Amino acid sequence: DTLSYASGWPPSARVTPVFEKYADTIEERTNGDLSMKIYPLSLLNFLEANEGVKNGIADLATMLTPYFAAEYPRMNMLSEASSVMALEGNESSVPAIAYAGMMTELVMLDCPSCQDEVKRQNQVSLGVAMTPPYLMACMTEITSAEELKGKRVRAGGAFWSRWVEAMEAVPVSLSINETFEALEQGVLDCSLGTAPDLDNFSLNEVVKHVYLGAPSGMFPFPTNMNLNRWQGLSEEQRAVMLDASAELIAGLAWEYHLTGQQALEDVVSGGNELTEVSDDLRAKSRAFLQSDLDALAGAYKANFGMEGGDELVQKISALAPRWIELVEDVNGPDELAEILKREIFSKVDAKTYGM
Amino acid sequence: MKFLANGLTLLEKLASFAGMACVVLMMIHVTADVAGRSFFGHPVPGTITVVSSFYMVALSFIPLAVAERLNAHISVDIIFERLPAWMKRALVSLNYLFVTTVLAFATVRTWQVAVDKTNIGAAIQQGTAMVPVWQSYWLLPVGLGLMALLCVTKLGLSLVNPDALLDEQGPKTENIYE
Amino acid sequence: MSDVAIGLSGLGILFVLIALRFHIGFVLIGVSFFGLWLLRGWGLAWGSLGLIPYQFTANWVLSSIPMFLFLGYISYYTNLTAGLFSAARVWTSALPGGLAIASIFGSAGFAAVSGSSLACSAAMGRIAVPEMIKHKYHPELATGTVAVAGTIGALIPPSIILILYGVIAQVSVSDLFLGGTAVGIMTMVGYVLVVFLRVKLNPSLAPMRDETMTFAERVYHLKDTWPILLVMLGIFGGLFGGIFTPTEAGAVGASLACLIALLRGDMTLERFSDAARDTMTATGSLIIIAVGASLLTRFLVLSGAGDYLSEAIIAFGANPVLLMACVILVYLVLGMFLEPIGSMLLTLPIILPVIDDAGWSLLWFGVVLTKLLEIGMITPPVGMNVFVIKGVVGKLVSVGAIFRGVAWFIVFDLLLVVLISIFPGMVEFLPALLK
Ligand code: NA
Ligand code: NA
Repeated sequence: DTLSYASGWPPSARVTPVFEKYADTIEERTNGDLSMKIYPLSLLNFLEANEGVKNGIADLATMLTPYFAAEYPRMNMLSEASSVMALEGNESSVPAIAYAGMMTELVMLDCPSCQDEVKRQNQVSLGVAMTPPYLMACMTEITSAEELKGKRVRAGGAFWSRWVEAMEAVPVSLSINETFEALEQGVLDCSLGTAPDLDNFSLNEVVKHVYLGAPSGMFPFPTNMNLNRWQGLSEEQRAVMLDASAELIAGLAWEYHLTGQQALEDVVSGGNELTEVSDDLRAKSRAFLQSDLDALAGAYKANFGMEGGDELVQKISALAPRWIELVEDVNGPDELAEILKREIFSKVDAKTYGM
Repeated sequence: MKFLANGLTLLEKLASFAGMACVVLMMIHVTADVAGRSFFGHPVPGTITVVSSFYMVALSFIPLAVAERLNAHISVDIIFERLPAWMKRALVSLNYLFVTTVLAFATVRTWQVAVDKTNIGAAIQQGTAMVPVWQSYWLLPVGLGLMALLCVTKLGLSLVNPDALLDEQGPKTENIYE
Repeated sequence: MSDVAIGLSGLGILFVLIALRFHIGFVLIGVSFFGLWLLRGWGLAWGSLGLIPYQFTANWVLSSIPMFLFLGYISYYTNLTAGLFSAARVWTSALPGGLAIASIFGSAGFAAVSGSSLACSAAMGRIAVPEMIKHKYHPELATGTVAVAGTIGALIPPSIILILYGVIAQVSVSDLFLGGTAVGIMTMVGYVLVVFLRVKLNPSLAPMRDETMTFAERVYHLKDTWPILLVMLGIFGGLFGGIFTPTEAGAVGASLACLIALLRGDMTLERFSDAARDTMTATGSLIIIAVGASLLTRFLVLSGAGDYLSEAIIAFGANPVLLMACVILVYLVLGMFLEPIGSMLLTLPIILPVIDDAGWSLLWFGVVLTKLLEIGMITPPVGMNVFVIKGVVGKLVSVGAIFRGVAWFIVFDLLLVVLISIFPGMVEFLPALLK
C-alpha cells in the first residue's frame, strides 16, 4: 500500500528532504508494508490542500490552516494565541519550537473540539509545526513607533493586519510571490514575515533593515491525513505513522529554525542592518498583543460562532513554561523528536486516535 | 421548443452582460485599490480576494456559453477539413455528445461543492476583513450548466439537421488574442 | 493495464480527439477525469473535478490576463496606435522597404500594450497593409512582414503566454517580461534587417517613395504618437515608480487607455462594449483550456506517465545539444498544427522536469518557449497570424503567398533560437541587470 504526501513546497525547497526521510522511515518500520510517495508541488498546492486531502486526491498534506478561515477556527485561534510567547518575554532561543510542542500537545491530547474540527474536514491531525516568530523587513529605517505610522506594510494574515492597523500604518495585502517586486519598486515600505521567508522569497536580497522583536506571532503548518485512509490502516501501521510523525514535525520545525538563522546571517553579511525594534515600538506592539489576546476568544465567537475559545487560550498559555524549559537546550531534530515522542506521541493511543 | 430557444438566448444575453460587467468592474476595482493605496494611504479592503474569487471565477465560467454561441472555443481544424462529409457529421455530433457529458458531470459536481461551501459559509480572511466567498462557488454550476444546455440543443440540431453545424469554423467575431 | 499505460493511452486519446476538432478545453477535462477514475477510482476523480476548476481560476496573478487583453482590445478598437505607424513611416521613408520597416516598429509599439500576437497582426495589418499595397510593395513582402511582426506582441510585455508560464512554472513574471523584452527587441531588429536585405537584393519588391520631408516636418508627425506613448509611460513609470505591481499594471493600463480614448473623442459605447465582449470570450475560452491542463497534470503525475515521458526524453537527449534540438523540433512540429497556449499547457507538465533536470534556467526556457510557440503562429499549415492577415486583405493575396512572404523571416527566427540556446545570457542579462 502506498500513501501519497502532497507538499506545497517546490522540489528544491529545504524541507523536501525532511518529507523524503518521513517516507523512508515509514517504509522501513513497516517492513515495506506501507510506503509513501512525496509529491512536491506537483499534486496539490497550499490552497488546494484541504479539499484535496478531504477528497483523497492526496492522503496527507501540509495544511496551512489560516488559508481556510471558516474550516479551522480553533486551529487558527490557537496559532494567533502564539503571541503569548512574546508576552511571556521568554528567554528561550527557540520559542517557535516550544510552541510547536504546545500546539501539538493540546490538539492531540487535550482538545476534543479541535479533533472534531479536523474530523469534519474528513482528516486527522498528525502534529503541528510552527514558523519562527514574525519580524519586520523594511526598505527604510524605522527607529521609532512614530516613524512606522503611515508606512505601507505587507501583512499576510488577519493577526498581522490588526497589528499594522494598531501601529497606525497601512496594511497591504499582496501575494507573497509579488512581495519582492513590491518592496524593490517601493509599492511597500515593509513586509511582515518569518526569517525563512526572507530566504525562500529572496527578500534578503532587497530589504535594507530587518527588525526583530515585533510584530511576533507565528504561522502554523500542521500535517493532516485523510480520515478514511487513516482508519483503513492497521493498528500497528498507525503506531508507526504516529512515531514517524513526531520525527516529521521535529524535522520541519528544526529545518525552519535553521533556515531562519541562516537568512538572518545573510542579512548581516549582505551589509544590511539587523537589529531589535526600538523600545517604544516594542512597548506599543506588546500593548497590542495583550489587548488582542484578551479579545481573541470573543472575536472568534463573533466571527465563527466558536464556543470555548477562552478555555483554549488559557490551556495553551498554561503549557508555555513547561515547553520553554523542555526545548531550551535542544540542539538537533533527533533530540526534539525524542521530546515530542515522550511528551505527546507516546501518549496517543493508536487504537482509538482518530477512529 | 421556440419558447425554450428564446429562453436560452435570453440567458446567454444575461451571461454576456454579466461577463462584460465583470471586465469593467475588475478594471475599476483594481485601479481604485492602486490609487487608494498610493495616493490616499487607504487601499480598498479585500481587493485581491474579490478580484480572484469573484471577477476571475465569473469571467472564467459565465462566458462559456457565449463563447460557444460565437464558436470561439478553441479547436483544431487541420485533419477534420480533409475528412469525407459523413465522417464530419458524425464527428460534430460526437463532439457535442462528449462536451455535454463532460459538462454534465462538471455541473453536478460543482453544484455539490457550492452547496457545501454555502453550508459552511466559506470565507477568506484578507487583512482584518472576512470576505465571504461561498457565493462565488455558484458561478461554476451556473456557467457550466448554461453551456451544457446550449450543447444539448446543438447536439439535437446536429442529429436532426446534420449540415447546419458543419461549416462552423472558428469564431464569427474578430477574435484576436494569444 | 499498468498505471503508466493508462496515462499514455489517455494522452493518445487526447491527441486523437483534439485532431478531430473536439473542443480542446473539454477534451482535456474529460480525458483527465475519466483517466483519474480508471486510475484511482471514482472518489478521487469526482473530488478533483470539484476542486481544480475553482482553485485554478480564483487566482490573483491570473487576473492580469483579462486586464491586459482589455488594454489591447481598447487600444485596437479606439485606434490608439494609428499615429505610431504614420510617424514610423515618415522616419523610415529614406530606407529601402521603409513602409515594411515602419510596420515592424508599429507592431513593436503595439506589442507594449497588447498581450497577444494575433491582436498585433490584426491591428497593424488593418493600418499598414493597404498603405504598402498602395505604394506598389510586393504583396508577399507586405503581408508577410505584418504577419511575422505580430509575433513580437507575445515577447514584448505584456504577454499572456509569459504570464501563464510564470504561474505554472513558478517563475517571476517580471523577470520573464524583462527576458521577453530582450528577445522581442532582437526579433524586431532582426526582422528590420531581413526586410532591408531582401529589398537591397531585389529593389522591385518595394519601390522607393519620393517623400522628401524636412526634419521639422518629421518631428511634426510625432504629434499623433502621444496616446500610445502616454499609455506606455503610465505603465512603465508606474511599475518602476512604485505605484503598482506587474499584476495590477493591466488594470491601470486599461483605465488609462480608456481615459485617453475618451479625451480624444475616440471612445464610443459600442467600441467600449466590443472590447469588453471580446475580452470576456477570450478569457473564457482561454481559461477553460488552462483548467483542463491543470487536471491533466494531476492525471499525468498520478499515473506516472509524466515521469515516464520526461525520463524518456532525458535518456534520449543525454547530450545537451541533442536535448535542445529535440525540444525545438517538438515545438516546431506542435506549432505547425496547434495553437500556442494549448500546446504550451499540454507539454509543460512533461517538459518542465526535463528542463529542471538538465539544470537549465526556467526563466530562459520560458522566453525560448514563447519564441518557439510564436514561430508556430506563422508556420503552415495552421498559422493563425497568417490567417488574420488573410482576413484583412481579403481576396487580394492568397494564403500561400503570405506563407511564402513569411518564409524569409522564419529562417531568421530559427537562427535567433539557436543563438539564444547557445548564449542563454542574451535572455538573462536584462533581468540580471535590473536586480
Ligand atoms: Na505584448
Ligand atoms: Na503553425
